[in-house]
Amino acid sequence: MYSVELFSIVSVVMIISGISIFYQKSIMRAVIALSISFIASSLIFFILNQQFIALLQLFVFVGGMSTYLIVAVSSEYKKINKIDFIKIGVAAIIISMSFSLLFTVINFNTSNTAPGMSVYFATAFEEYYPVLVAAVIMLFLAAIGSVIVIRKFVTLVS
Amino acid sequence: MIPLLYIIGICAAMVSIGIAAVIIEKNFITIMLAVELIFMASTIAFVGFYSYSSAPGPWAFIGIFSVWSVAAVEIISLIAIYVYMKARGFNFDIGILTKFKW
Repeated sequence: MYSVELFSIVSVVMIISGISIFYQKSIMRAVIALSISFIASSLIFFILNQQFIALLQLFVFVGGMSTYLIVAVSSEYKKINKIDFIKIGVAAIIISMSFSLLFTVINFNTSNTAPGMSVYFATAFEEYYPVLVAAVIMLFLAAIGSVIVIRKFVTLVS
Repeated sequence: MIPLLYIIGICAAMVSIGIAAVIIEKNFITIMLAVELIFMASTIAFVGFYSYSSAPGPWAFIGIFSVWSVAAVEIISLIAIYVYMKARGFNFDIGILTKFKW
């Protein structure tokens, strides 16, 4: 109903985060900005009724690649600001919770109609529902675990 | 339904940002992140045209997977190069990046 307005808002967020990559002084913040633009692109896929592609974009690029990049970059930091650490933790929890939220929305949509590419995978979603729920829970636990690991090996500076 | 022109516009904007960053930036890592933005724009264009086609078939999905594979390989190679350069103490400025040779 409000898809054009939502598309405009998400597009603005994506362009701002894309530009802000090159204004950040630390690579860590640039990677976080790239993750935000990945999330915005997955929202665009969702607006275009391509829920399966949105899910894969969120799983592979936000959940996998961006986390991999953040961990690789943060391994170089010996000291980190306490407020920045809290921000990273909150962002990790919100991102991991967005997996379950998106999955719930996709499951709701595929039970009624299966538009776009998800028509090939609608039955697979229903058949492998417990496996996907387990994957979402594992991703959530992995995000919390990564925050705990960073907390253990990085000295916090208040 | 989103007009196709909007999707092409956002893709053009992202590609412009990426190309401008590749031309202007001197940090090697930032240039690789800019290339990632260009890949993302191409995926959005692919999905946008897919949404407007009447009978796209599974080959479009394979095409998107190909773009994703190249983008994922680029991120993994970026991480490997970053760790390598950081361990050897190389500078990330491409203007003085003369030691990074085969």
